[in-house]
Amino acid sequence: MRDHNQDKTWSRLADAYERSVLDASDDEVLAAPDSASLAASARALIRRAVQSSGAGVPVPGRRPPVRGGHNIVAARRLAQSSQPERLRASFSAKSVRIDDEDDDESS
Amino acid sequence: MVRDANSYADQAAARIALGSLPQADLVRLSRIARLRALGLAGTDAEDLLNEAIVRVLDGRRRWPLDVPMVAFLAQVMRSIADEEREREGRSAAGEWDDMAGLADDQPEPPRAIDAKERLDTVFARFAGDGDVLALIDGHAEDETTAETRARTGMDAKRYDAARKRLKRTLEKMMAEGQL
Repeated sequence: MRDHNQDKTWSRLADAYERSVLDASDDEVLAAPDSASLAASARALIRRAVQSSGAGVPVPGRRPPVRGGHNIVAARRLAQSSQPERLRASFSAKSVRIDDEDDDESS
Repeated sequence: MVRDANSYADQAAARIALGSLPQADLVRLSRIARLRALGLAGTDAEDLLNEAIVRVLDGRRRWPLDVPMVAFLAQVMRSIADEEREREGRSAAGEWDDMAGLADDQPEPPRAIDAKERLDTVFARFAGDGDVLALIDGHAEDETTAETRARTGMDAKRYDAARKRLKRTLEKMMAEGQL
């Protein structure tokens, strides 16, 4: 093993692991014995967060008020589109820019 | 990549997308939350995922429509974890300096020890598995898959088998609190 800066080595290993999770096929992800409990706990957490946000749980088929006119159906389709090739095409730790509180593009 | 305001979903669309995430993506999010929460003192995986979702729902983080929601949330969690780690590091470094006083040979700050211990645990787990160690070495050097395979002489099948061993073992170690 070459001599590496350990923070950097860990960070790159973590990034590689994250990519492998995102790139894995749905079958591989769901085959893990703990997948059902992980999914259930994430779903419950999202439900609680949505409820706490005051927006209520999304009701299938019921269109909520939309500001900005984005297409809800397209958003749902995009959220459900997690094929590895799509993820690989659109996700890159080096290219995705995430905005934060200081970003004023929306104003 | 430069995006204009129309490249982002509004909060209603983000809320619908969150409620529509498929089972496999929920598992992916939980795994990535576990990973990114490693080494954080006061934040566990659920806290991290929750904070990421809250920031999306309240509009502090806007979802770019050309990025899958799961990949976007992964980025948000990493960013929150980095903020938190920095905050904890600053606070711990202050305490460390107080303890170390004016000594010339000051010990390493806490965060480096954390990463070192985790790596030592991973290396110990894979002692004797040269293919996985070579893979980790490749990640550390930021090699592409092709570069690692060329360096090690692994064919595609052997490389993929090593990659899966590494991934599954890391998942097991995280689930068992070994990292």
